[in-house]
Amino acid sequence: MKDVILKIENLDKSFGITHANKNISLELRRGEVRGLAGENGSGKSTLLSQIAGIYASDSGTMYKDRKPYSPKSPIDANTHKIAMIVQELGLVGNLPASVNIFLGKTGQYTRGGMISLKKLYGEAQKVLERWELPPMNFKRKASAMNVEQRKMIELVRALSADPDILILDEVTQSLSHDNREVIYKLIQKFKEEGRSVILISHDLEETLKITDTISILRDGELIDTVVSSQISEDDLKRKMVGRELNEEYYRVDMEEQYEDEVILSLKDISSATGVSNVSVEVHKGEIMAFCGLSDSGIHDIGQLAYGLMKPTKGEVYLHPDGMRITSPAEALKHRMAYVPKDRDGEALLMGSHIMNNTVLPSTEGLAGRLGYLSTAKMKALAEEARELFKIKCTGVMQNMGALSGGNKQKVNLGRWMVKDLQVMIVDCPTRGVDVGVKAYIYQCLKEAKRKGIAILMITDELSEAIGMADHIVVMKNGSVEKKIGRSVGFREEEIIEVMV
Amino acid sequence: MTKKVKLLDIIPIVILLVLVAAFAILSKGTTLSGYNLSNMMVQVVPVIIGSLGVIFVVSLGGTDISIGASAAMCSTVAALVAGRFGSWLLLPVTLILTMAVGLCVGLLVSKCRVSSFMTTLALLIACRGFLNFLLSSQVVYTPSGLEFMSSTGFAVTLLVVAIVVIFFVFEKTKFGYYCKCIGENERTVRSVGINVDRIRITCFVLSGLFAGIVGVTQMCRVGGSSQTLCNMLEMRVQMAIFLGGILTTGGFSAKLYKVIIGSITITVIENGLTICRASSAVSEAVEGILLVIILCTTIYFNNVSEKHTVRLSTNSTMDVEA
Repeated sequence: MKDVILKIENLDKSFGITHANKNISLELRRGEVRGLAGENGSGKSTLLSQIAGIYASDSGTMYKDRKPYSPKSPIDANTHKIAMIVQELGLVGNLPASVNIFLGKTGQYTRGGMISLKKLYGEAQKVLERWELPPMNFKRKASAMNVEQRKMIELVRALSADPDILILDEVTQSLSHDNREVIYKLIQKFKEEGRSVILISHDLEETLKITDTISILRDGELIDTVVSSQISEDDLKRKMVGRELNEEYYRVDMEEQYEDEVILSLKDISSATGVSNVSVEVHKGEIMAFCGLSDSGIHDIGQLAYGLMKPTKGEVYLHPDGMRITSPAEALKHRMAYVPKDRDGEALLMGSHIMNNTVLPSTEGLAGRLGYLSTAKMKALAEEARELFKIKCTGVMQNMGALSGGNKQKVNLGRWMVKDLQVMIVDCPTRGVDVGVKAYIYQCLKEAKRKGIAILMITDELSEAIGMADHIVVMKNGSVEKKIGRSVGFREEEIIEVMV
Repeated sequence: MTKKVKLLDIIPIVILLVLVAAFAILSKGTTLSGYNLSNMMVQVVPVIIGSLGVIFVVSLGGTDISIGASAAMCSTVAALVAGRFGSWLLLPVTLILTMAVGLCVGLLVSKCRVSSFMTTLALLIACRGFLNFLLSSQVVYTPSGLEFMSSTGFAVTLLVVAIVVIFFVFEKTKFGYYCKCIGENERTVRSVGINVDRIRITCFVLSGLFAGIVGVTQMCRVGGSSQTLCNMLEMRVQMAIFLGGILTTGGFSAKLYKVIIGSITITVIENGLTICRASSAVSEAVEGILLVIILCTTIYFNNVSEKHTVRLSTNSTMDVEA
């Protein structure tokens, strides 16, 4: 038996009346990769935050290397060689990546009150070399980076603490295939060096593949800890939700099914960000999925189609009237929808309540004479979305910040689905949500497809694209590499081969 | 459903009541005399009207500190025009000019991405400079025939109408809703497909419009232009907004009643100090210290109440991203 590196005894945490964690005890050994599984709101993130010093525990004790350990802050945890990457992005936008990496620890690189950026770049570079990570631009401001790049910077920040225990909270969810491979390799290296990893991933297949053991949480209680190689995905799901999951997940048919009418067409689109000469046509009731690596430009396609990014060449047309879409305002007016990938940063008003978030895309339709917005109408719409999407909340006036990831995403999608749409552009619709909500979102997409909405789905999850799409468009370096139809049969290996 | 009242929303009202009581005691009731109350009414009107325009900009998360200077300069120019071509021109010309100034600020802020604070600060200096230049060679009187605008009755009517109109626009229309959404998260509003630039420009134009109204009424009250016309108006309005409990980041914390309470508070302080016979040299210092104390109290109690607010989000503490 290998040494126990971290021992947790009776850890307890409440937020007001919400009992987030109830007397959790577990042991982590050196070189062990532990997964945490559970539905949204089961207390996984809270537990990890307690270990990483983000939250203080109400009661209970932790031992790191057999010594009592009670971190006062994430930096304190770092000095005990425990580092965490949080679920939502935690970088200071206006600072260069390198400063973000050493935030709070810049003291040793400071001379006379000035931070030596050169030294920071050097140190950051050393971390890259030490862990054989791909090159990154440390001089760039965090605000100029996309979700994925920022996630990788956070990874470097965590690694810069030289951790014995690395905690990853839904990290792979924001990454595309190539960077996921980087994480897998990193985890492997950690194991080899006798270091440990704790991770949360809503991709159960992935969790089973990369972990040694999985602890299952439900409603703040530790239900069980299982050996990953001895449990099937279905059994794991069952343990997580505590009941039989018989909802249908992906599509079961194996044919392309849509009408002949073209709804949205991108004609020979190029962008300043590297997308070049992309032409696609999305039909009525078709789900077209875009897959590709991080720099393939798939996320730009969504922005281009919705008019948020100006193409340097080419046009976006909305049929049947042959309307040209040049701005998001036109897209909104002509019943298009765009669900961005960065849910908390770009899609939602996190400081406000559910009603204000739900109403936003429908305001033009709700407003009466002189732009009058009736509170009653706003409330009715929010209630409709809440019921339709079974959003778990105390009421539509509840603050967004208090909702779990899955419920936030339900608001994010629900506010569009209550509208009468022609086109839906969804960028990573199931990022950061658990199996239950995922199944529900797929259900909704199927429903939208049945209604004849043309759906452009951009996704980092291949299984999702394979499960849902009529056509998969594989992109590489900004151009379309291959378009595969459902009836031909999607094969994951084949798609990955085209991607890389 | 019980509505939860936030501490931040109550404190400004409590502070106002405390101040009113304190000054009434210190002045042995003089502050509450009928004469003084109507005096305060006259003093509070320009602050409230000025803030009715600025509240739009503040709800976006920006600010406009050019209103006083813009009001003074534009009304002076308009008075010169009106003096030559007819008194009736004073109001329309002032409003056109201040709205044009607002339009320029709006364009600069939204198209060139200059911060609204810097833009309006530069404009404040430029407008004051131009006003001094205009007044260095001539005396500018208010055109005759507009005396009615200096009456208290007119001021009160104007105030009520303006408050009703802005209450509707700011609290009850999609325009006001969008403004607050932009303050909460501009990227969200943009990605949904709403023309953020157009809304932002409109807000600055509105701010200019109300600055113009203040400029004209003040000029009619004083009888002519001077270097001190509408002096410190922008600062009074800013203080009114913060005293009322609106956050500098804007968003849904911006409420019309808050600026009205804030405007009354700042007027009560200024008026109270005068009545209590503080010499003008001392009164400004005392006013400044009082303001600091009030703002610190507001923020302190707000932080205390935030701590007790339950937030389930695991990540709320990590949202450092702007």
